[in-house]
Amino acid sequence: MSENIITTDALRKEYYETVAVADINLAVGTGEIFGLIGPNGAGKTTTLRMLATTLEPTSGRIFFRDKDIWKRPEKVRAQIGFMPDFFQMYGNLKVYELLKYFGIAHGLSGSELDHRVTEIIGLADLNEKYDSFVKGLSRGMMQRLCLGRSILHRPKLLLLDEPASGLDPLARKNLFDLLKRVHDEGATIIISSHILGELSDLCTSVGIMHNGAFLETGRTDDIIRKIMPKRQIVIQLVTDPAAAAGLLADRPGISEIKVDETRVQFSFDGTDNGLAELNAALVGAGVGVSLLEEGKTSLHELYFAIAERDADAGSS
Amino acid sequence: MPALHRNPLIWREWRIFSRPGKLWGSLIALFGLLFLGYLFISMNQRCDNVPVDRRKVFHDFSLFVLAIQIFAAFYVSLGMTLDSIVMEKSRNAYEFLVTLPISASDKTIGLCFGTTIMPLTVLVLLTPVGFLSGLAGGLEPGNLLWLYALIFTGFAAFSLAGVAASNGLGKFRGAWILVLVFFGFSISFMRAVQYDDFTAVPALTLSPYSLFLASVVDSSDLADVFNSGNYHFYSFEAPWQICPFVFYLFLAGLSYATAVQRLSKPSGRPLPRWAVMAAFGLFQFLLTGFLADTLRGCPGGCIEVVMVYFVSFFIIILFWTMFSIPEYGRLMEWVEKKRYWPVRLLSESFSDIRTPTFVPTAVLWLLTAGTVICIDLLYWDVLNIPALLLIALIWLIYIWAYQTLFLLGCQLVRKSGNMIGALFIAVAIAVPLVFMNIRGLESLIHATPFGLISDDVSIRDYLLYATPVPKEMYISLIWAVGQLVVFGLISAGRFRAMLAISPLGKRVK
Repeated sequence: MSENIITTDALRKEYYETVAVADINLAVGTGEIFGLIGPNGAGKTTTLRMLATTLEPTSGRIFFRDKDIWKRPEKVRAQIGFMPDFFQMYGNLKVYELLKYFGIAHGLSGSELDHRVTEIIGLADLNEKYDSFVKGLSRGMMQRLCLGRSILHRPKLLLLDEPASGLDPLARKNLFDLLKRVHDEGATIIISSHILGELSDLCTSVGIMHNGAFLETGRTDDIIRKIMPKRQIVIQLVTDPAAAAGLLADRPGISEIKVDETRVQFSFDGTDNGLAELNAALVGAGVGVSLLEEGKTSLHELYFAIAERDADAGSS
Repeated sequence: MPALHRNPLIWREWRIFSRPGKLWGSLIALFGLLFLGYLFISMNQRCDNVPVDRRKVFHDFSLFVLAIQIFAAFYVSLGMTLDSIVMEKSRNAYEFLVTLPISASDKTIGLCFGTTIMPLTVLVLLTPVGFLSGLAGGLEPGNLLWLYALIFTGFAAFSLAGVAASNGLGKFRGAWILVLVFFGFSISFMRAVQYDDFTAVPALTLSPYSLFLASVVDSSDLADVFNSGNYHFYSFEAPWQICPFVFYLFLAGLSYATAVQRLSKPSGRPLPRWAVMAAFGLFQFLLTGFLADTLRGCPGGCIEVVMVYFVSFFIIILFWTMFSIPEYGRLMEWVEKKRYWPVRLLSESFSDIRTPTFVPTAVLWLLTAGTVICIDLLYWDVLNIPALLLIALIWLIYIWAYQTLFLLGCQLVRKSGNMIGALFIAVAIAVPLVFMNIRGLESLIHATPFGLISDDVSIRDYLLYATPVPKEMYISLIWAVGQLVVFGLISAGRFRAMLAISPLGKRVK
């Protein structure tokens, strides 16, 4: 058995003349948090719905643990948790009743069901709403309840489509803290969003979609090294940064120097030893270096770098 | 399959229905209604100095209870189940239903019995009340038992039919309008059971209150066919109730299979074509048998019966083909798959649902024609079989022609293609019928299948007396073949043009 929990083979979805997903090949390793990122209309929701078995592909296949998901979809659904981007829950059920309903569907019963429902309500921070009707919940509570519903049966794979859309910053933080706890319990997560900042700290691998196809997929660090091989270095100074910039401009392997009031930022394609030598050279030249650190490339920067590369490739 | 009480959909609906306020309120309303009904009936019977006839009170009260049960079992349950999946889609919870890790069979049973918890509760609670008061009121125990058997099987049949249909209604919120129309239609011929010459017992399947009337009214007030020993299945004597009972079981089985098939995939997979053929064949067999008393009694009017049979099933089969035409994208995949599509039209008709339905349509029509021949051989023995076959062939060519025209509509306008296709068919039929009223153009009626069912004496003589083939038959045949060729060529040309610009490309599955 491969180490990938889910793979696709030339997965395609068409709506009349529109190609929503164009022959994608995806492989998500067990235990990863895979970010599916891209602009609106990139094909993220369509892809997730096909993985969740709520939408049939036009062609291509999907394998969950090396088994075709459409051979016995109800068996696959028992191991997957899906949170759609747009949903309404059953408003005339109470919170604990809603979770019990889904728990029964997943084969839980008796005290095991009651215990798990209580656990999930606690995990989703909805204890005070235990006996409240679902229709009375706020947007953030509804999102957390829906996430709780998705993890009730301890799924091996969690599919989340824009889980934080419409939430305020605190609610988003709470949601992502919950996701981290869920991941720590052993779930693999595929999460889609067009808000890159919230995925930066979360994802171990990403797939960047555009017009139904992947521009890049893989571990975040690997993609960054591939797309943006140069290291981003930031030096905090107590002396004139312009002078430091002048010194740096003459050094090999340094480019894209940016200067502001107390900092110099530049791209560096050398090793750690090279960086140490650079630091020594600056200090030796009288530059007051108070801090030298390597900046982390954000998903935001990565996405735009890829989009720019793709646009250049298209125009040439 | 888990036990019914472990079905999550039934659990969910029971949970909502059994909230103390709702449950007690419903029970109080129900028994309040019964009490008021009983009060009204007994007060109605009260006359000065005349003691109340308790037996009559119980008799009328049992009719009142039975009427409520029939309304709940057939019409309320149908409306609720028609709305079942529609509601899931309307409230954006359909994906939750699809991703439930239970089988399509469990989902069907859950939607059927979960959605109808309220009418089912009414049915169950009122059964002892209706049965016992009926016995006390002098209703015949056998008829009562049969009536309850029909109510419960009818409830299952209509509920399952509602679930099966609901999956194809999208977010259509007019289910109760449909139920209202059906109610009006079914009530309209309720009293037919009291006409002396009434024999069409299968028609009662569509009129639950007719079944009710036939079960509770004194036999002397009913048509003869309802009296013991007067009803037959083919040549076998049978109680008349067996006919609707069997048809309800048939409808329940067919609806269950359809609902399970549609719920097995998110896009809603239709019933396999071989299953449709088998169900249609079984239906024809049952209908022919249960109409024995009607058919046997009219050799003089057999031409009319044949034409009514052909027209009815022509419409049914045409509607089936229209609903079965694959959607545009799937059709293009089939067209692009390989070459030699005429051969694949034959070889893949039952294995690939993307195949246009010309062959299954022909099978359905041949089954219809075969049934008519069997009816003649069993009950009349008056018709010229070759004549019947020729008429059936011409009608088949017309079905193919209209099917091709419908396909053309779908090719021209993809998203509303069904409506355009139906419009094309309506125009193809209406235009000759309008212009035939112009002097000299009367023979235009043969440009439609109705030319064969006009009062043309030569066609009637041909069917009965094996005269030489009248020229009207040739005219109809030429018109039918001509339309098929013209529509077929336009459609084929359209397909070629679409293939040239299709984004699907050459892709072999």
